[in-house]
Amino acid sequence: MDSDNRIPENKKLTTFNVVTGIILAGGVVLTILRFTMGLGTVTNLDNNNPWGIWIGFDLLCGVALAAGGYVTSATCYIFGLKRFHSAVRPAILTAFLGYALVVLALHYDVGRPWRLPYPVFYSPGTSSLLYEVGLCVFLYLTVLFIEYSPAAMEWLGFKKLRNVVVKLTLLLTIFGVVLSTLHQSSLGALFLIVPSKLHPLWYSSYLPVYFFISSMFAGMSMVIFEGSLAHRHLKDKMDETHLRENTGVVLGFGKAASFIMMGYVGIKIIGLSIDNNWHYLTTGWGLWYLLELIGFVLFPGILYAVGSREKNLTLIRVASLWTVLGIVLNRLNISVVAFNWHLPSAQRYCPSFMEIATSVFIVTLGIVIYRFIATRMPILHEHPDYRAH
Amino acid sequence: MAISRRKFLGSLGAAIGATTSGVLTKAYGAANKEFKGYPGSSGVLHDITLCIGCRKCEQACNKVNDLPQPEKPFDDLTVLQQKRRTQADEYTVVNQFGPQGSVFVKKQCNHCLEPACASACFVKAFKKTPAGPVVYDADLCVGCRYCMVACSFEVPAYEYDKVLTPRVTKCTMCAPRLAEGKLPGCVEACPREALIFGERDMLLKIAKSRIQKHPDHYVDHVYGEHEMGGTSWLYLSGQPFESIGMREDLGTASAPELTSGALSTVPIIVGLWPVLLTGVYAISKRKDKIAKEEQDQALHTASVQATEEMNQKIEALREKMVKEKTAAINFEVKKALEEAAKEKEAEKQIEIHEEKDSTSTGELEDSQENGKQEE
Amino acid sequence: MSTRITGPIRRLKEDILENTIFTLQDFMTCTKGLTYIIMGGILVFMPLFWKFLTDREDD
Ligand code: SF4
Ligand code: SF4
Repeated sequence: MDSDNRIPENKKLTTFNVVTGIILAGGVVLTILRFTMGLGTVTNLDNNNPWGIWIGFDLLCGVALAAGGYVTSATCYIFGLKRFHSAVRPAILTAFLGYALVVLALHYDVGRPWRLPYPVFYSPGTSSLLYEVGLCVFLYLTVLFIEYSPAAMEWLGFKKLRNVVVKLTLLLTIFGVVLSTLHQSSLGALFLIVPSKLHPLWYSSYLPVYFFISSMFAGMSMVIFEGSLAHRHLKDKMDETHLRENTGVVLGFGKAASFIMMGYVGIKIIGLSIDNNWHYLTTGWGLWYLLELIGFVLFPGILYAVGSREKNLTLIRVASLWTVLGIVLNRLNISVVAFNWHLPSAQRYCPSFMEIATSVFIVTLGIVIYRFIATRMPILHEHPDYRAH
Repeated sequence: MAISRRKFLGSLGAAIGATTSGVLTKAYGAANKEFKGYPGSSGVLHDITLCIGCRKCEQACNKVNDLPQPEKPFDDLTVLQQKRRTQADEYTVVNQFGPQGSVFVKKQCNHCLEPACASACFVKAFKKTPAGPVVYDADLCVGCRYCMVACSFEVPAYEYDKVLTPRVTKCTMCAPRLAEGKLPGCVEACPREALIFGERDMLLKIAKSRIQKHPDHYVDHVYGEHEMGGTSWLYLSGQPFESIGMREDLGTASAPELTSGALSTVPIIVGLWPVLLTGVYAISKRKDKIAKEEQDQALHTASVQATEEMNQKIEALREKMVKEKTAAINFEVKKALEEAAKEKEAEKQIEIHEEKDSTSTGELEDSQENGKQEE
Repeated sequence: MSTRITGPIRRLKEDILENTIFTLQDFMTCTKGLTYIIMGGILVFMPLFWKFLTDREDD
């Protein structure tokens, strides 16, 4: 927790800067390649496997892990737990950046990105769940932008406008929760149309519920995990209130995540039982499924429980990282690993190096922008002119 | 036995699922409606037993759709040895099956009655036309490729190599030719009448009568009658369909049926969430308010009690003082009476006692001020 | 199957084809389109109504 490995502002050639610099430069090259040579050159996608990790990781994981925004703001403003107040701004910022990057990533993935506004403004295909996802992501990105904007306006000194926007907080929070419920669950519902391609252990008519519930603890875990990173590297930007409330946030979300995860394990088992899928559990796929459910949901859930009983912050932080990895595993299982499980292995998809590099590039871009904003704007601390209490 | 039991449990499970999850899975917007598809729409019947694997249909398809020439010419039948699927520049392929490689199956878009590709497309680029073909409009397509994910028959292909104008491609059932009153290219080219074009209802009748006439020759199933909600292309086979690369586990639920449950949950969430969330907010706010009021109340009573206690103390003190004073006076009077004789000494004593009185009143005022500060 | 029907019967046929929904797919597209608009309406109306409901309360 000490600030030894914090990056000093004035030193430009730190490891962090060099590594991100290289990744960003590589990203520019990949971007040029993608938009001059086409999808076929950069990706391993083919006609049987039209969706790769740009959808499985960038879209599905990106949206799930950005759920911290709605979870935290709902906790604070709707459920009235004011001690989460200092966690709201960082969570909203992460969510906003997360969604912005998801949309950016989609520009790489779709064939004609300049037509991305078509579903909303030109030819709405309302029978599609992807339409639902698209509409909600578009609206929610707008909501998140407005929710985030007071921080920027305090920084820029737009007092009046800032006060108007702050008055809308409750309304925006409710919109945020409604829209998040819809598109988090619809991302799962995308796969309802292919019982023939997704392995029965992962296919379930409860998919939308699974995605929504898991997005809650995904969001909480991200808030905890990201908080511990910020603590290490951006501690000098935090004010008294933030530092004081942080322990409460970690403990509170740790406890909540643990309980929701147990509930999630419960409804996953209900899913097995309802579709009578027990016999798959003894196959190789079953072991993989159990690894996901026991190793990456039940186990971190118990870690969380022990951590919050013993007030052991380190344990909770380990659990949060573990849970985040579990969410990534789950989303990739559904979109890539267990998808097209019936095909012979020669026809299966494996991401190309350039696909992975592009995803890394986009995540890095997010971290760099977060750092830029958090070191300048009142995110981890309150602006002296606008104290809440 | 095990299988049927498993199946029974499965359907039981589905029924329980339907009732327990109510809104979530089964309350689709069209629960009480049935759609039969466009009346009189056309289709093609592919009698697999008649196909000789000559690839004439592939050639015709290539020609009428202006597709690029393949590496190997169409009369090279060695390509049949490899299992192929439709590609961006091959809308139809013929595959070889069976122990002696004697069974040939043509594969192309099945032109579903309830197309998964159309259900999945978020810009309505796919459309089932009244005439039968499922057609695609490249001017709308964004290139998300969800249609390819959605199609259970693994038909649509994508032009991954095009940079600016990639399209989804698939068989059009020659919709432009049909509009001109011509036959689809493949049907026209087939030398063995393994493909026949006609109204789907008619084709279904033909297929069933063939099965009836030659029950040993055909599997008793018309593939495409109910698969995925039914398709415009129908198939007859002498081998189990599973063994010739046609999946029999697709089920009969069409794509819109599979998604309608989730789609109709969406509006319910929009309708109820704001009510629920505002309610939770109002309750938590009300609780805060009550808690604050109670706190105020408690503080108030506490301060009132404190003042009262203080007053009582002061009162007691005062009484004590008065008592002491009277006692003192009485005492003095007594003394004065008793020792009236010694006049000079008595006068001095009274002066000293008066000084004592004034100091004790001062103490009293001090304690009163302290009490106020505590409040 | 290009039996050419002409005259009023043809027009009637076209009319039926145009105004009837024959597939669940079209039905979903239609009804969901309208429902989305209603959803938008609800999202605008509910906050306003809440405002009306709680206007006179003193916090
Ligand atoms: S077979 Fe596939 S591509 Fe053809 S209509 Fe059906 S869903 Fe669409
Ligand atoms: S790739 Fe094109 S046609 Fe297919 S679903 Fe996406 S937008 Fe529709």
